[in-house]
Amino acid sequence: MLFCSREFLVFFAGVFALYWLLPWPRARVALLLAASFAFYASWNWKLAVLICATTAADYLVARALDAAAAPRLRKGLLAGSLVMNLGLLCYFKYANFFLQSVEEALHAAGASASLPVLRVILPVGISFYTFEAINYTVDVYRRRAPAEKNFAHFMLFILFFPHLIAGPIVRARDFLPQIGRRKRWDWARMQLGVQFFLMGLFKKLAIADRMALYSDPVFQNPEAYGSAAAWLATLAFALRIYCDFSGYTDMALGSAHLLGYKLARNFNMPYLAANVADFWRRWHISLSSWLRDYLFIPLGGSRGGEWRTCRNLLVTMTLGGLWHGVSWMFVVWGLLHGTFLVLHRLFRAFCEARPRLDALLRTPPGTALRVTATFLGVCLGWVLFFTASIEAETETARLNRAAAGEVVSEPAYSAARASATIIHKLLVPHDGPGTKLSPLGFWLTVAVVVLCHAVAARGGWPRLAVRLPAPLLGCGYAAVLTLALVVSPHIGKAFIYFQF
Amino acid sequence: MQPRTAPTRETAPDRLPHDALPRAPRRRPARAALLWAAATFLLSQLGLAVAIEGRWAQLRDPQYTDKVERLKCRLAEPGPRPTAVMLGSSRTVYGLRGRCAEDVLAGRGYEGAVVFNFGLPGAGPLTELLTLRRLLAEGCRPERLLIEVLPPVLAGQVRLPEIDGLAPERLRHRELALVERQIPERAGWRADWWQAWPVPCHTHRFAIMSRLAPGLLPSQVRLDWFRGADDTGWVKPPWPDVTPERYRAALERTRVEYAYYLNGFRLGGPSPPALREMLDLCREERLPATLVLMPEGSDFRGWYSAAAWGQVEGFLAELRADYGVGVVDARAWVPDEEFADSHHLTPKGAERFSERLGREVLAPQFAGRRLASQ
Repeated sequence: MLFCSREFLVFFAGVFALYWLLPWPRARVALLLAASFAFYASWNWKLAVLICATTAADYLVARALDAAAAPRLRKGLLAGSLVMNLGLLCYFKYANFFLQSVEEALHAAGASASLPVLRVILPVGISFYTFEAINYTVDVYRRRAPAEKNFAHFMLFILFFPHLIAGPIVRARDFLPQIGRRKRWDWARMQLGVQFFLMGLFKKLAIADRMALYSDPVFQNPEAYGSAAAWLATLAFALRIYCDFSGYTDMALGSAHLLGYKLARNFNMPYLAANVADFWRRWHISLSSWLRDYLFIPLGGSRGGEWRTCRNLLVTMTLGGLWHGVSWMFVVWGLLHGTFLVLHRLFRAFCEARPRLDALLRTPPGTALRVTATFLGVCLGWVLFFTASIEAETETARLNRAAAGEVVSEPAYSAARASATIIHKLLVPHDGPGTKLSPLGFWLTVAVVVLCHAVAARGGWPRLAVRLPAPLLGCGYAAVLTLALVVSPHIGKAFIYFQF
Repeated sequence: MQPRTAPTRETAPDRLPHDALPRAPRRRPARAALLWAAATFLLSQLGLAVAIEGRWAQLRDPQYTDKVERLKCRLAEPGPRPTAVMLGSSRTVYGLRGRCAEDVLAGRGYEGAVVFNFGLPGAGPLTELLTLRRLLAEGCRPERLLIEVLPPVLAGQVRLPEIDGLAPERLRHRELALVERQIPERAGWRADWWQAWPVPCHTHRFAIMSRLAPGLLPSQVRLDWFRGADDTGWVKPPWPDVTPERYRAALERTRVEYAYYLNGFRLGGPSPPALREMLDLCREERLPATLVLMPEGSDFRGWYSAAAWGQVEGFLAELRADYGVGVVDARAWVPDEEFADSHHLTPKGAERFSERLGREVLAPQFAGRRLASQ
């Protein structure tokens, strides 16, 4: 069920109505649990049962961790929980990928080996709920959060359908206290929820799906296009992935608000970041803060000197890249961002030793230059990311067919080759056909996004909301919804982050 | 791009931006804004639904509407005149240049004759039947009807793409009974039709965008191609000049597409009964009809097995015997170099076909009629 599908809207309307009609808090929690289970089971009920089982195990481990005093026992329990969660993630998501990589490596070394293809279906959202379970267990281990005693509450923390499939990755200490709090109907909160949902719907239908028309054909067959098309497709993908993912997050936040819950903010105008470190403070905030708290800092963070800090940054970002999917190109993408972070760190130290240069870079033109350079660097990363997504998607489909006993051909799409071709065409002018669509639609969409950013950066939306009379504001909401529905060029195009 | 009241403090999970405001003053505008939003949206959708049923029918089926408006204009021209309308698929869309046929007829004394191309992309006998019923219901009654027979879609061993291509939202309510009877293998016509109505701005978005800003739509969903048609309904093909490389690539695509129908061809499915029903309707309406096999290149003709072609010929012979209709076999009328892909004609091929159709088929059919000059 996609958030922008008719099925979800009908499902959500039913849950919403029943939720607010029920006067008992426990019944509401039970309703949300049942709805979340049904939401996941509509895709695959067996895997919905699997999530429930692992959640139950995590609940028991955390209770035991809370009760235990012996450090060795506590360490053992934590290790058991991590092995279970990461083991399942590796099995479902990476097993076939690693087996295939080993097979390719053996072939490259001249050995003849045929490793089996496992018949596994990737559980949607496994990367997200695994990280939520881990942050809870680790927090309980560190005694930063108490173990939740109410099993239904803990279950809801993991299964809550607005964040179940593609985040944001919620922290137990943020979410669990909200479950016990009494929920009252609040028109202002409903308005907030509707605003978030409409904004997300508009981003997904009107912008992300439209940008896919410009990016997909070029990335799927880069040899057939020239440099102009490669640039257009790259910029289109940058816009697409932002509006696709932040649109999904906005819809998740909106749905949660409509049910009286608040989820963490996941984006903060990332393309206005003035450096890569700033970008990661604005992009997929729940993941980057998770990586910081549960990977970078445990590795030593920035405590062990410059060399160790750089090493920790590279390791964290590389693993963060691998988290995104089953393609080595995701690892390269993570490594690239790690390298950017290291370079930024070194450059910052360089500038700090030169106050005049530092001051120059902080002037408006200097800031514009830094924002542009950061955006171009991020776009370079998106080339790797999108080709990796296409490769992962086609490879997963191929392996599924192989696991089902079908005879499958060799992989037709190579992320490495495609990204090399696109980057070459970005850097060296190539003649060739452009995209078939008129660029007017692209530039019009860019103009809308830039305008919205400009207004948001000056805090214009809240002022507008206060000054506009309610009828005009209401008509504005209806207009945004109508516009999103009319200009949507696709039917049921899935969110990019669903595959992770 | 952030919502205007986006929360800013991560550390206070349940704290909202409006919590700082006094309760009563913020509650009332929020409720009013949401109720206004709901009312505006619902009323606009209701209004649009009513409009599509009435004045804005072009949003329901723009391709049909664009053609029928042109046809009505032609039929409304003063004076008695011979008229012929041809129903068909994309082969007809690009293949019949009514103006060329009309010029030939004018040369034979039938000045002011109307030869109208009512081909629709993706149309097979089911769409042709629907179109004929609509035309007759709207009072568009030509003197002669030409019906394209696309032999591959007479295949009964496969599910026809036309079955799934017929969008319920493009049908009128009274047409549902017809499609339910003709296409029993596709269930849920009525449910799909009703489900298309609650949010017409989304259901008919491609039609709306095709009217307002067609350049923003990808070509495969644009519905405005016939706005550029000439007054005989013919539209210039959107593809560029045919080079040998492009022809080879297009031919390969066509081969793959039609292998679906022609491998193990067995006559059957919904197309033959739909053709029969169309001829029954013509007989009932006393509308003389002629079946036309559109030109095909030698490559395409070679893809039919002898057995498959035997079945097609047998079926056409049955129709000829049962209904007394003429069958025009124009398959070899055009040389290979005047095809884009061995079954869609280039403008030059369309000219050659249309002139011959006017000369050898329509002129004799109009022969008993008083000449315009008389």
